[in-house]
Amino acid sequence: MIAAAVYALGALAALATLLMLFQRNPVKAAMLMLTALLATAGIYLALSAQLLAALQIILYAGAIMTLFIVALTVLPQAWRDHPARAPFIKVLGLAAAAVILTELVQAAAALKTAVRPTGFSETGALALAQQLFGRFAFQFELLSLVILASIVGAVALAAKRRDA
Amino acid sequence: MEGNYYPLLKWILAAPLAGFLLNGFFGKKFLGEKAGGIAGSLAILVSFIFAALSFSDLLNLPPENRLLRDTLFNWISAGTFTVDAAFRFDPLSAVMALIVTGVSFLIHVYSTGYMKGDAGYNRYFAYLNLFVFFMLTLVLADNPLVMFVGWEGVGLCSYLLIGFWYEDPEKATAGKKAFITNRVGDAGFLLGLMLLSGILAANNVIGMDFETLKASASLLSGYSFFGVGAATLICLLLFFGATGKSAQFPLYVWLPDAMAGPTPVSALIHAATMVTAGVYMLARLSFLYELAPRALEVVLLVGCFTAFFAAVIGLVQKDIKKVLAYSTVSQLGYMFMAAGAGAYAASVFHLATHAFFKALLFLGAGSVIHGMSGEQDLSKMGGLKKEMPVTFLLVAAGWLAIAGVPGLSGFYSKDLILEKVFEHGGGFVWGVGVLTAGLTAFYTTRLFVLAFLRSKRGHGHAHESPLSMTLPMAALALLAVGGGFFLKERLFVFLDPSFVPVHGHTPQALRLMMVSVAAGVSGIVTAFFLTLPGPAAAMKAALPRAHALAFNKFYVDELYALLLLKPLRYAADKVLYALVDAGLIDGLLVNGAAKASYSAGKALARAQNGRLDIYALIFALGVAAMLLWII
Amino acid sequence: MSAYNLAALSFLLFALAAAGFLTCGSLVRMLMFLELMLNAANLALVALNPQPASQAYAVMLFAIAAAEAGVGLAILITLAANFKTLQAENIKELKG
Repeated sequence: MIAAAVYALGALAALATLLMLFQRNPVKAAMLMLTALLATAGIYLALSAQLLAALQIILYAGAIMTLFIVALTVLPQAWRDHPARAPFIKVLGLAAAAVILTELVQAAAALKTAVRPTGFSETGALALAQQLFGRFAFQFELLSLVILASIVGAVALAAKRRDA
Repeated sequence: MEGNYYPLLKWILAAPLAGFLLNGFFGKKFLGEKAGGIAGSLAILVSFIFAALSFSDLLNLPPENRLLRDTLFNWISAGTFTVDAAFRFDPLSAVMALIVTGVSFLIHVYSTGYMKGDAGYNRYFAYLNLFVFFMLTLVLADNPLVMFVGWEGVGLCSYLLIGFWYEDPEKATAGKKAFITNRVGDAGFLLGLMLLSGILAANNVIGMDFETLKASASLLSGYSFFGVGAATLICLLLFFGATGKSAQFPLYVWLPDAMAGPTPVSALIHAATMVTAGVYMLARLSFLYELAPRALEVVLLVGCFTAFFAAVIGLVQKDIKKVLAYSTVSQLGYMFMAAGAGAYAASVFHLATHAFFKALLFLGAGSVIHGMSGEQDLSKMGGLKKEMPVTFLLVAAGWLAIAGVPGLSGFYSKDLILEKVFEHGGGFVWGVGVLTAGLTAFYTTRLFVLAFLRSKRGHGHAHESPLSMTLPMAALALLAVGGGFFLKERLFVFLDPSFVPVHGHTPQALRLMMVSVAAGVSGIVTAFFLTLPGPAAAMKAALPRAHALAFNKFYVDELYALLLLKPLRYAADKVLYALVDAGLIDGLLVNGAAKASYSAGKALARAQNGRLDIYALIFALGVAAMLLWII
Repeated sequence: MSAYNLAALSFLLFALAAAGFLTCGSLVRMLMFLELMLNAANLALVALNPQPASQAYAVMLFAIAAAEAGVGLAILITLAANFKTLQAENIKELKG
């Protein structure tokens, strides 16, 4: 059952991404992106990573999507959107993606025989928190610095120069 | 190595070379006119003394063994092909060397007077010394390649000296013509040499000096090219080179134009020495020519034709030097006739006597030109007997010598040639030779009469030449008068030890002699008659077309210009210049390379287009490629 | 359902997002596909080995993705203000 759920949600995410390729309207594209992100959250749930699912919804679907909607609202240029003119670019892009896919899949062939650790062990928030604040505490704190830097950078870039 | 080692040989060559270097590098600044002339003449005198010393040493050797050699260094060493810079001194070389240095010395002394005041005085003596150096290299060479060095060198000096007054474009063109025509002949010479050395190399004969060539000449009989025997082909090719150097038909056209140079140059190079190089070559390689009787036939016929042809042209020329130029071509034809009949010693004999009287005639002409301040047209001369008595007497000696008056040098040598030709079996050739002898007497007498006798047609007063000019002429006159008688027997004995001098003449020889003397005398008399204004005009009116043909040199130059020069110029301009040089090399290779680089650069610059999506695409392609490679 | 299948799924999502990233013309869409690519990578990380450690890493990746989206959008706003266009082919200042 879980497998079916994972496959279904995976298919949904793939479909959404695929439709995004052909979508002209940027808002509709954003909606499709939201669908993909929510599907991924579903996959996390199916894999018993409940905290991740929640965080996915909050951060990706919540914060990042909001940012994109804001950008679409603020930037009128985003609406003048047409794909790359030269067809060979599209062909090359698709070809590159296809090649990468095949290669990655081929690389993962080794995993065919690997035995997945059984059970979707109930990885609770406690275990996760113990990892985050125990083993990876330093990285976690560094992450806050990263976010701070990004905030500062974003403000510095996008703020209008004010004549004092 | 056969022959005695004789180190003096190289000093014969070194003296003129030193004179060239001295006058060439230090002449103008340090030596000045007088010292430069003395230095140049002294160099040749030293060379002559050394040659005379070598000659006397040669005489001391037993007749069968008269050979002195000297090797300077190993010149070419390419695998089994080795050539040394070696020199030999045997009777033939001795005769040539003495003539070259002796006559050169006299002409050098003459030049000190003739070229006085000329701006390029030192350059002149430098070139003249260099010429003697190369001519000596030619006659003293021990193998054909060193001889070829001298051969080319005299051609170069001829060019330098003919175009001596190079500011005049006509004179410069004459020099160019001489050099290029010589080069055409030299191509044939080189081909012959290459063929010879190729065949010898195929038979593992090492070394190309004349002794080895003589010994292995019989090897040539086994080869033939295009149906022609190898020996014949080589001899013909070498003779072609000789026609260029010695001004025979078809490559004689440069000699009349060469009169643009100073008259002493004409005397030395184009009468006595350089043009005789072909005759010397034939005499030196006589063993080769003996193997190719057909080539000798060609030589005989070409010499005969040239002698007659040039004499006809010389009959009606107006320029005093041109008459003498055609006379030289004609007399060289006689020498080749003798060689073609197998009488190489006779051709050398005529070479010697011709050097004497022709140089004398040229120097006399120079004296006349100098005295008349540059006038060269015979129709404007006349009556110089009173104004230039010394020159008159000396030129008279030369005149009588070339006309074949019995007792003088020209008589002995020319007569011998005609006798040998007749004996060889050429009745027709002998007849033409006799006719040419008559013509020779005619045109020389015409020259003499028009220049010195009759009434004065020119303007101004001609002054006699200084001693520096008349003394050498006197020496040459002595040689021209007495040289034939002196050398008559001795030369032949010297050249060929097995020669048995015949005393007295056979009745047939006497008859031949009388015919040729009669031809000469009749030529003289006719000339005295036909140079009177009345008969001359009548003659001209009677044969206007013939006169025009002869006067315009039978239009040979124009024919060459049409057949050869025009197509060559067209090919050079349209094909080689437009297509190859401008089109291929400039356009395709040079500019094309630049354009190709530019286009390549432009094409590659499109990779830096600043578009981030393209950059991302390339990035992804790179990742894909890497994955393909790794996985 | 083995790890291989999950890996293949995440790779498929990644490839689709990459295809979209490379073929679209507007920078905004590029950024969207970029986030989807990061999302797919995250999924791979979690799906292949559901240990707490990998989940912790996934949390950190969330944060980085958010930060990156913010900065990216700020760059977009600046580009739009300076170049008046958000088509990648028109922004060629780096040319040459």
